Amino acid sequence: MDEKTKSEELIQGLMQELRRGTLMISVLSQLKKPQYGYSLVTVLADRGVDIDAGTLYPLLRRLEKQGLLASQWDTDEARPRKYYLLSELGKDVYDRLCTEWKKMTNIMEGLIDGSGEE
Amino acid sequence: MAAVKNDAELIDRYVYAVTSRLPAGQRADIERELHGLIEDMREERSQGREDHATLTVEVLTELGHPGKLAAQYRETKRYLIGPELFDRYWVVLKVVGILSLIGVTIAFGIQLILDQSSTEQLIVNFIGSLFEVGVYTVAWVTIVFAIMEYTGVKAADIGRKKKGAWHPSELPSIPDNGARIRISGSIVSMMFYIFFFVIFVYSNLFGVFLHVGSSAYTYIPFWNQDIVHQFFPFFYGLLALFILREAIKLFIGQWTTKLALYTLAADAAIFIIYVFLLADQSIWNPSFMNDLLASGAVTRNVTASTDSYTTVSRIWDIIQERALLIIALVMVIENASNFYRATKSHVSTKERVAG
Repeated sequence: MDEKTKSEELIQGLMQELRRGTLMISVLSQLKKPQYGYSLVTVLADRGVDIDAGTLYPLLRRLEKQGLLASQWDTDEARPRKYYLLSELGKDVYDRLCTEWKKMTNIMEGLIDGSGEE
Repeated sequence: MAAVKNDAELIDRYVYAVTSRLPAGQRADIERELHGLIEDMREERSQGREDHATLTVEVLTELGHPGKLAAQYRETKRYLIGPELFDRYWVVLKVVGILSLIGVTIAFGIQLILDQSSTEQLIVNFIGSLFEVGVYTVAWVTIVFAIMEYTGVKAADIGRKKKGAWHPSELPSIPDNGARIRISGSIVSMMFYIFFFVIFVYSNLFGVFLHVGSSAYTYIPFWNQDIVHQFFPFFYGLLALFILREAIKLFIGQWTTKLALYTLAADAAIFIIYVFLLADQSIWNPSFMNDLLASGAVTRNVTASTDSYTTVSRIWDIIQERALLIIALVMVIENASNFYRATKSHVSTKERVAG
């Protein structure tokens, strides 16, 4: 294996870990209005976040179980769909996560831009 | 695989393959959800396309192996022994494995010397026992650790009085020579327990070997062979307790009041088993004295006031009647000395802190 493919592989693995951490915030950010699973996949994809349905659907269930999301089946349409929406707890947690996230990006920017400085 | 009639059947198969791997409580909901998802994906991909035939296959391929999808739905951990306990599990498995190997090998050695069967047969048996003991070892150690994992025992909390944040004051004192428990000592003790167990119980070689005159060796067991076999579970329990006692000693590493108490508790349990084994004296070989007489090792002289038969017979009776008492005495002395060693280590630790 040459150096290039090795670094490619490493970067892929590390990126996957980074993305995993941001996925939850991405999902919460789009659920101020009710969405069903697949509409969320499309909305996120439009905004540049690629997420498999196979990852998103279980994640939505987990977030619901943690009390961050509320869900409801809509059976009026031809195809029954489960709609998810931020709960009160979810809103609060999301707002605070955003603050934390901004803090973190500030720190990271400081680190990255300041790298190499004495 | 049976032929697929249509897309609907293929989708049903896929959804079933996922939900059948999930807890029953979640199945109905996820089944509904997956059907919706697959329809949505099909719909999105069908726009501006003619070849609808491969659509379902494409969508299902994108969703991936049903086992993988199901795994993402399951939030509970799917391992028997997690990373926190695994190191300890590995160490215990190795120690127990080596001890079992030694036990089986000792048994094999004894059989080579004493058993009349052919060497080939014994080697076959040996390999069989190695396999059997190996399976038991792995199974039991794994079961114990899986239970620890399941009940949430944390490796870092084992042996800690207080749960919660760790503080340097919890560091155990460096043991003094007298109070320190040597790993080698404990391992040797464990090996001896296994050795005695194999010889005295498993091979039933607890007795006297006599060589009178020119005759071949005569072996007279101390124990009633049939009864010993019935008591096997008790002996296994005894061996387990002995090894557990050594394991606790190894674990704590030095004589402390806590260890002395644990040892006392283990000894109490051991003594209870002894009571079961020895209380009604049926475990002793009833024909021991007759066999001894028959072998010519002791002689009976009806006219004399004492003869070798009467003397040995009296000793034999005393052993049978007083075995429990003797064991109890030894245990009391041993435990008293354990507590003494514990206080000694305690005092010296205090001295060190003061000084």
